[in-house]
Amino acid sequence: MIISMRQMKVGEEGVISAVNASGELGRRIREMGLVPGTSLSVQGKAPLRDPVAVRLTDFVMSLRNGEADHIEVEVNR
Amino acid sequence: MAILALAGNPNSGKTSFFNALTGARQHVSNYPGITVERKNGNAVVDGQTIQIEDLPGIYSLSAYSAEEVVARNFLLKSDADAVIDVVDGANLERNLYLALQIREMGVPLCVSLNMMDAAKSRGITIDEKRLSECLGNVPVVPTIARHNKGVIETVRAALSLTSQEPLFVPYGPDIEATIAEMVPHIEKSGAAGTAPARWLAVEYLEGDSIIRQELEVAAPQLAARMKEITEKLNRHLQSTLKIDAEAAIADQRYGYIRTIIKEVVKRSSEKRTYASDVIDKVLTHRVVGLIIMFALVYFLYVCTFVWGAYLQDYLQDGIDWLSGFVGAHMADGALKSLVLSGVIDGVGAVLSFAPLILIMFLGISFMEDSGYLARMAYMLDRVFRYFGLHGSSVMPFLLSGGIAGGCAVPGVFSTRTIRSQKERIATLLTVPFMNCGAKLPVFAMLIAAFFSTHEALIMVLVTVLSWAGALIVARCIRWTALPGEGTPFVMELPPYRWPTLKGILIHTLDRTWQYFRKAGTVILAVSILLWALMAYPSLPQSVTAKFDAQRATVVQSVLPADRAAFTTDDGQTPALPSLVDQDAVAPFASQIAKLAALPDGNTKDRDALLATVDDDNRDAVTAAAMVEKYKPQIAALAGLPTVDDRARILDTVPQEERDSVLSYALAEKYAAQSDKLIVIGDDQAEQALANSYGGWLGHAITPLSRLMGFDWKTNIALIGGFAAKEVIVSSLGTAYSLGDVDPDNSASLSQHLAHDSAWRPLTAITLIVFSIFYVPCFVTVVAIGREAGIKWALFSMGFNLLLSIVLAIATFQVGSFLGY
Repeated sequence: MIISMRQMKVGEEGVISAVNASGELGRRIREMGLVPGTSLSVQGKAPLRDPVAVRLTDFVMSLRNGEADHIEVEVNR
Repeated sequence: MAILALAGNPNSGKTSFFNALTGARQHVSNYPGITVERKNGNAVVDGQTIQIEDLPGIYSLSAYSAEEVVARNFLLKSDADAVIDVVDGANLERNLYLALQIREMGVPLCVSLNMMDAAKSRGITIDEKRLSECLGNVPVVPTIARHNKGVIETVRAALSLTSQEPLFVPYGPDIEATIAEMVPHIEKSGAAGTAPARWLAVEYLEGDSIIRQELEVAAPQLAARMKEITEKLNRHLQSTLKIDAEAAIADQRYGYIRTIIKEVVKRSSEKRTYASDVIDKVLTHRVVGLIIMFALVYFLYVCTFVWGAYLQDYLQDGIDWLSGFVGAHMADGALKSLVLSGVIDGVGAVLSFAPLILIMFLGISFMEDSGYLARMAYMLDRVFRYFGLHGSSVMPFLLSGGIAGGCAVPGVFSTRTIRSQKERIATLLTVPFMNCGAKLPVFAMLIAAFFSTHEALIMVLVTVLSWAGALIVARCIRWTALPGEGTPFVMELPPYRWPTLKGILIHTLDRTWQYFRKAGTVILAVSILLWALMAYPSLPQSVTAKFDAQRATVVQSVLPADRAAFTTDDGQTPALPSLVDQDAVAPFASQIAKLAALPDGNTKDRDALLATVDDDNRDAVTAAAMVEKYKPQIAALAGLPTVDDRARILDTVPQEERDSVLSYALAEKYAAQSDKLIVIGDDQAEQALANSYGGWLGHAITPLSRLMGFDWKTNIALIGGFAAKEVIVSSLGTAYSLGDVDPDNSASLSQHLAHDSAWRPLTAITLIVFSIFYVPCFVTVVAIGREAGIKWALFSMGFNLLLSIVLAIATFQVGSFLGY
């Protein structure tokens, strides 16, 4: 099933199905390798539940919940 | 000279690569008009000198951030002979994105496949030969830049490069058709210059705003045609794939990279746990992580401000020595005063920040290079974002005095770790509101005078007020002067790494040196200006003569034989030792009694006893013991009406102690005269200040300052406070004719203010509020100018002045209205 990245739980894995952001935000997300087909897992959330830390194959990055809203992820639930 | 440019992602080891090549021969400056740091340096390889240009660390060559624009313009327009792209071998997929973009530009490229040790330990093997082929036969050299492996080989490979054909990345039928439509138009107009026409077409499709603007100016017809073609493509892509050209191009590029990765990268195991992830479970934990963070910040604080204070003391000793040397060897007059009060005090103020800056930068460099700083930003971003700031703003706030007792100068410099421009400016404009170590003496003096029973409570309120003020002002600045969306927080959390000593030292010394070079000159000028403001015009001859006559009368009442010993060269202060302050030495009564009882020449026991007294009181205790030991002789000497019998009494004192016993006896004998001279000197200083331009200014602004409850003396102190906040205390001392008030020991000033009719608790509260929000000291202003440009430095001065006046008037008027 496809959900927004914000709704992923800590430890959950998924594969990006779409990135619905354009302009600078879209570019920042894509240049880090968050493009359709990328598999990722949610590694953790900051003490106030925002931002979120995401592990990709080779590295970890963080982004705010508001930014994660633009990313759709296919997960097994 | 050959020029090589270094490009690469942040955390790819590019800085290590640069350090390995250039060592300490680096030149750091800013690109004109923007705050992006420019680093270059020379390296000698095989006897050939090469200029190395270290481009800012970036993930792609889009034109959104200043760093990206700088890097792209350098690659497009400079005479770099080749580019070395430092690529993290353990993170190849993402790092190849930039490499691909450089290859599409057609700039000669050599890839440094870096961090091969980290890649190996993660079970990653890379087929370098195949990678080279996939990128269009560019040299690929495996390196471990941290350990200086493969660096020279990379440079050799880069130097042997001639031209390279741009790499062809296929973008799929729709986009390719559009590119094919654009290219002939571009080629015909010659708008691409030396860059490939295909590259320009792709950049245009990607929505590069700078290229679009340039094209509109240079070739309006072509621009109109390109715009039309792009819109057609975007409509088509939106209707079929629901994305625009920019996204489609990035997706295709990553698709291309993935085919490369499949061919060249082999992983020994699919699933594995990373050490960094395990550490993060603890260090970014909701509770434990926060506790560790506060502990680390506290530790950095202690290092910076406690250890730094030791070094500051040594520096201060050196400055005092220089001051004393100049005082003793220069002829009296305006020049001496200029050198002492203007140059040495002013430059000394700058110098005294050096240890703080040095230690602070060591700490920050360590946290930054190890990867921890990114975690701090991650944990606190939610709070700071609420006020229009960034998670990375936390460090500058804490260093500037977020827990009372920091310094805004290193705070302002540490904003460099914030990569988002708006948040960075808002941060460095508001960190001066924190309670730096120089404001504390001001608060301490006022609290001691009016609220001595609620000391801790008032200090807590002051801290809360400055934080609230800073955050609210930041929010307002982000609404007004720096409006708009914050920069996205898409940020890498780099793997934890032990920083290298070399990297940290270069980082630290570099920044410290920059501070000196730039700050030294401006600060010297302002320091001299402030000195002149307080010193000129000097008192008219007639007034000076009046004070001299008063002094002469006092000196007349001293026995003729003692007059020489009683007056110094300047004729203003008695040359006699000051009397023992019984209150100050009271805690050391037992040591004093034992010291006084020691037989002459027992230096061993004396030194052992003195070692139990702290540095600040040792001289006073030594003097007190001497006075105690020779009490009868001193009393007898002081009581003698003539000088005739002195020799007889002094005979009972050991030879080496006679001078000190006699001068102490004289100090007792002429205590009343000494006090009179001091009072005369202080009166003269007060009148001189009132007569100076500074005094005139202080009087001139009383119509305004009356609204805040400040008299002209306070005004002068506040003008002086621009030099450094602790000057408020010492200038108030001068203005209230208390002589030189030591900011760290201002009890006399506190007592004076508590009994002065012009002062009441509300005045003190108003002055505290004013001091929190007042114009930053000029060292900080220079630092802001250095980091954000002269425009923001001036803004900071004007805005803070206005804010402090408004808040102080509000405090005083509301307080008065309520009857305080």
